[in-house]
Amino acid sequence: MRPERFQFAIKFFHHPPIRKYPHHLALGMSVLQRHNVNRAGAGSGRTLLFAHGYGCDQNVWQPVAGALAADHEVVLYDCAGSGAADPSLYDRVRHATLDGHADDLIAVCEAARLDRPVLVAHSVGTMIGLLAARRRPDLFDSLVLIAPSPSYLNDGDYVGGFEREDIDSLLDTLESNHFGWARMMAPVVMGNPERPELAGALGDSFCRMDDAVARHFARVTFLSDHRAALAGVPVPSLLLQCSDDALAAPEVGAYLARQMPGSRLVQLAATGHCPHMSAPAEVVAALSEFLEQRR
Amino acid sequence: LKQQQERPVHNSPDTPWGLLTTTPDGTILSTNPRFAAWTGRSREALCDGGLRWKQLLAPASRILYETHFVPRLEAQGAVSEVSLDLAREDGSRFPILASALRQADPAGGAATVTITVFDATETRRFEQVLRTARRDAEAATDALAVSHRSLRVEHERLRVMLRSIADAVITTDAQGRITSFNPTAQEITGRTDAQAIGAAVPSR
Repeated sequence: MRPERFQFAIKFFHHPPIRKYPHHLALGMSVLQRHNVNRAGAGSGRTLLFAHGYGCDQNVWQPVAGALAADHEVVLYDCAGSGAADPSLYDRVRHATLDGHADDLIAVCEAARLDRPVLVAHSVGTMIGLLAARRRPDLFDSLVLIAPSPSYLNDGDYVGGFEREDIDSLLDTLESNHFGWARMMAPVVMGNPERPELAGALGDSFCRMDDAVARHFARVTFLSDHRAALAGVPVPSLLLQCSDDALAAPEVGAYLARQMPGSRLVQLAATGHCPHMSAPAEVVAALSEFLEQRR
Repeated sequence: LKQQQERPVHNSPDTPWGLLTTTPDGTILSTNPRFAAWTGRSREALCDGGLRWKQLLAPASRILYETHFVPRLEAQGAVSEVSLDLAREDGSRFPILASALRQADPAGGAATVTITVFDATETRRFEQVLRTARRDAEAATDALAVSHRSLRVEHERLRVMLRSIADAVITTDAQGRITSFNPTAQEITGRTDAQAIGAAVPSR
């Protein structure tokens, strides 16, 4: 009996433990480390907390946060299952709804002792932020929601944009991209002659996600419905609606503006779902105008 | 930008892969005949209508395009071998692997994105076989876990029953050495189970 236990102890300490026993290692890690929280800037402005969307990590904020860091404090984090967040943080039970991610966001605000930040959130991050603000309105000054959608499924009059079978087939597509021959999810570092500054900075971890987490998080993201949560958002919100966004049609932005009495809808010229990457200047301008009012 | 269309590679009907050039926001500038054929549309319909190529993708692939393809292309200037489905006009799907490279215009004009597209029909068929095998294995593992759990429950029930029974119950191996010794047996014989296990069956 005894020798067996002893052997187990030896095994435990001598195996590379990162993936296998992450919860043991994580005991000594703080919330800030586990969420890879990074802060920059200062200035006389506000504190801005950035929440990224599905499929990526805090690096997507580089162009916008970089520009705003001159006048404001910017705080970035990776949500559970994404980027450089502690892999053991992702819990398929706790993160089976976005509430688990909202709890994490609240924990980050508290651990970083943020002074009522303006939360700038993208895509699924917008609903995570909205749930967090509903629960703890004392923690946030206001919300800036970029390309938000409360529900991706069509339902009666509501045009979410997708059918249930589209989401099922998304899970297959994600799985297909994790097979060896599709290299999208694998580390790829490529020179970009146009923007050489990005090559080294992002390295090989950019938007990498564990296969099982990617599918689980996709199901949670694209099958959840938060339309009922919109009416009770207790802080002012700015909604940034993109043009020709495959994930959030203009009807979705209009729906949000109707359902959220304290909100203001701004239509961006930027196309696609990621204006903070494709048209950072336009996003910075909209944000700066909003921040001016929040001074 | 129209001069892109004059490139010979774009006009050859023999090229076995699809090729398209787009603006940074994905609006199609030119395609080769192969890609147009795969989509089931004419080259004119693809190039002249200000169409963004994501509109040619199946809904699930459009999600992947917005959440994975575009961020990588924006941040790194290139994307390698992404598995996507084209939605043809007749409603059928055409599986592809797409790679993209963003290129600045040496003359200082707008950047363009070159996208190469490979037919992934065979690959996808093979994946389907692998996926079925993997899901069968996962289901078998789940079934094993369930039966393991019910066996443990049954084991625990019998253990509790043995401990609380008023009869002495002693089990032995083939050599007659004791392998279990319940509390009533301990009480009757005055031995602890630690003393009894491994010993020969006691005689009263």
